[in-house]
Amino acid sequence: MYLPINYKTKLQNKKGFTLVELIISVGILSLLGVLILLFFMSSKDVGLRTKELDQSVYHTNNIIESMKSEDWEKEPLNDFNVLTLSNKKITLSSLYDDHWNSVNQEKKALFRTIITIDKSSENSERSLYQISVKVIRLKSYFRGKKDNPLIHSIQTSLYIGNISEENLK
Amino acid sequence: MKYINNKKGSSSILVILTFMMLVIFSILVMMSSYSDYKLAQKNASYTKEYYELSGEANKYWSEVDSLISNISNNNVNSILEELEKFDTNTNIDIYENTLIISKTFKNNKSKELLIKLEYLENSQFLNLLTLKEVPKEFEYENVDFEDVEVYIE
Repeated sequence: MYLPINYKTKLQNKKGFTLVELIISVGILSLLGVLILLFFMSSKDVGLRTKELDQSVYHTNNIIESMKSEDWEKEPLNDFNVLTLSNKKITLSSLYDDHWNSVNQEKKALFRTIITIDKSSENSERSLYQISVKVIRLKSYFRGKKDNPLIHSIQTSLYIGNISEENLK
Repeated sequence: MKYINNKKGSSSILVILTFMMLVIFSILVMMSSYSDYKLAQKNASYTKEYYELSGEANKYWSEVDSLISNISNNNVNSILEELEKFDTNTNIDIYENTLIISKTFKNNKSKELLIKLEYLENSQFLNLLTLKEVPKEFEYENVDFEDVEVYIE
């Protein structure tokens, strides 16, 4: 095989790294690599938590403001299914996918929103209701320990018109 | 010159620098995402506190509403008397046939919420006029204003 003289001398050169040197350098580099990867992955996880917390705060505010203005037939209140309905207590639930679109199947859902409405007192046209809104993630986070973490919850009281069965249909 | 032209070990320096860059970049990304998360948590706790105070204000509204609906004589003076008995910390303004009831609610983090309710004579209910957060008063610390000399020709 024809090779220039310069390359031939380089190929014949037997200087190089020993096995121990190679193992040590590869070990150090892989340790650093793992550390960097961990940093990047956990920052991605924190970023996801931030995004979802912001979105769920917006979502819960939207729900409470819609209840204040008694928009039962509009979004987001018309997405909810009635879980329990009695004279004193109403529980509503709704499922959402990762883009916060309402879905019917739990397989496709990533978030569940639960609204609990307790009637505290009643006047002739309006009643005082204790409202609790919770947003739960149905899958755990990459670095999370809980299976269904609670992202955000709000408790408040609303003095609004009486909620009837017709409102919730 | 002998040391500068020597190319031994330049690849190791390149690898070390690349890894250093990656470590620094990953730490910066981590710090930035954590500060974003803290900001989101602050926003969440702020809305939580706001709705807790708003709940108290709504409770007060319902209590005053039921008090008024139970009073048989609906003239302004008798309502005023009953309201003063009910709560001494309420501010009530009287305009001819109208009562404006205002009350502020405070939490332990000194967040304040103001509710203003309107009562028109001979009506059975209160109308909600205002439900808003009272902005905090603050003063700048150690601000030195310099005297500026103005020359007028």
